[in-house]
Amino acid sequence: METRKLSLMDFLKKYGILIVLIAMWVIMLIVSPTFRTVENAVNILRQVAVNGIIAIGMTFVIMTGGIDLTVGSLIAVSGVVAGSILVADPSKVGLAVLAGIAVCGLFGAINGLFTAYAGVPPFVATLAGMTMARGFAYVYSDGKPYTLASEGFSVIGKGYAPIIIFLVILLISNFILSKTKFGRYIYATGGNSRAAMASGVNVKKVTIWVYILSGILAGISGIVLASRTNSGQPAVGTGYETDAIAAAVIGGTSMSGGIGTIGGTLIGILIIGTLNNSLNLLNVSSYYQQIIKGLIIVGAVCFDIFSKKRSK
Amino acid sequence: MKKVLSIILMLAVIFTFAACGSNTPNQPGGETPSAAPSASAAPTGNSDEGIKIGVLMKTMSDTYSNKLGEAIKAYAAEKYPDVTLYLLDGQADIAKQISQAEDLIAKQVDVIILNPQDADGSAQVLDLAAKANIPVIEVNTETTRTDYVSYVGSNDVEAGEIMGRFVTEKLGGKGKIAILEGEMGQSAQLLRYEGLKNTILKESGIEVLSTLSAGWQRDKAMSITEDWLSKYSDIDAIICENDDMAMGALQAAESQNKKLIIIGVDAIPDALKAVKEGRLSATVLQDANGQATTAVDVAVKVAKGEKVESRYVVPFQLITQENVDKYIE
Repeated sequence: METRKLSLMDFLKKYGILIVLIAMWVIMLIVSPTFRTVENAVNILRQVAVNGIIAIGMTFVIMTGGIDLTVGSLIAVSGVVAGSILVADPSKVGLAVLAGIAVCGLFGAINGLFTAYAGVPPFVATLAGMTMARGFAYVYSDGKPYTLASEGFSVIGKGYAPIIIFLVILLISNFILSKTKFGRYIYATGGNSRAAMASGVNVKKVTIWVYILSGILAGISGIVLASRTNSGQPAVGTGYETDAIAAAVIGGTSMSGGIGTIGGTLIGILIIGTLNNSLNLLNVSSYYQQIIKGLIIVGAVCFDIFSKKRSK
Repeated sequence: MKKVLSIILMLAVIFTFAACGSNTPNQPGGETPSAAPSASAAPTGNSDEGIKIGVLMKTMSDTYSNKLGEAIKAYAAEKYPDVTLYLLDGQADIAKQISQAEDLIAKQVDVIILNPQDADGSAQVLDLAAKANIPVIEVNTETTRTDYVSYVGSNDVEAGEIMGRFVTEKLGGKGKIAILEGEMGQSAQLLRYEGLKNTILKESGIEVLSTLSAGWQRDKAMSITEDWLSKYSDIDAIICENDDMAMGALQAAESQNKKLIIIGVDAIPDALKAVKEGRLSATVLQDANGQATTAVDVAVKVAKGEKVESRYVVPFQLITQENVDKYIE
């Protein structure tokens, strides 16, 4: 009896947030016939791919004790950079994709340099980066959206492609975080940066690379979105960073660093995606959607904290 | 408990920052003496020399606003080469628009063309300008207060009615539709929806399956349409309050090989192309060029002290595959 109770508590402690997700699914499966279709499940996965990719980058950053507010703007940067190349020559898909991602990686490196070497708090450095990147997207595109007509490029956002891209990134990131030296350094940097430094971890280098990684992932996400909508728009992605932060936090990533998993963030992003999809399917008015979304995010995290406390 | 609080607080801070992250500090433009505009009475006669026109655009980033702003610039440069034009981009931020108004007043412009960001909030520009004795002409969107000199725009109710009638006719008065709304509470959303209420929503044969807001955005419209298509397999038409959303809806429908009646407003370039190719059913043109040229003409007249009408209505036009060639540039 005693052992069973313990294991139940352990289960709650480990999977509290997963229970929230499963509960949402069960309720929706009962309430909405559409939710039971494979098509809808594919829809949810495709819709979370864009946000999921930046949420993974956000998880890395938050785990080092930082935060990256630039990602929403970088989605636009990558879209307009790729868009400008594709408008000039629709066949240069590879170049467009690489250029879009590279520019975002560069913005990430700037964020990293400011935080790691100049000692600017990550919140401030990336807040500045956020407005600069948005400004760059406007200046670069002259404020105009690029309309894309590239067959090759549109494949990236169609059908299962976004889901596959998301899953591959998920697996690689999980591997990096749990199996590589770099992953352990990230945990060490976020857990206690002084101790990490004392034990020979190059904390500054780790920090820079984490921001570059977040920038690159935001760039990939921007490419997927541009392909999905067949346009590179300078205004797109506003506020996306908040969903990414919410996903990481719901998934158990600690805002003070050192704690977090890719699996947790996946659950977080699925909760947000399921929520958006469910509210649409249930015809909840646009006014109420935002309130409900906020409540469920806070509620989910409270449940997680509560279940962890109980089990201690 | 501390952890919960810190997370909630952090999120709250982030949301607030994200909402107003791009504000620039106000410039102390409000202190300028109100002597400026009296100078505008001096250059009488036909010379445009020395006339300064300030333009406050709500944004230059959505396709339509960009077209409107560019048309204002191009027309003023071509027809009134001696007029100095200051065009400022409010970046969809009401606080920014107000501080830009202060900047224009400090520059002592003769007349302000205001493209309001917000029906209520932008009314503050009218106050600031009135204090400095600078006349204001509103273009495209109206503020709730009407103490401006002249309004140049189109009646958004008409756009809704054109869409409503078109879809009703296409469906033969019977069918199932869904509606994608713009940012809730903006005048274009409220008025276009009113136009739908006046027409298609009165039809007894038409069933509205769902009405949701995609906030004018293409990617959101696409996600919502995907959700709809899996829930309602028998959907006949999607009415969108702008073209960006219509293109998103079209993208979603096409990726599932569904042919629906889809209509939007604005006649942006890729929507026109889609109409020409027979993919998009129709779009309703809000005549950016017409609005821009009228607004600039009226502004110059006001600056010269000539009499103008209090209202200029630039009509909407329905664009289908038959007449689309006229509108493609």
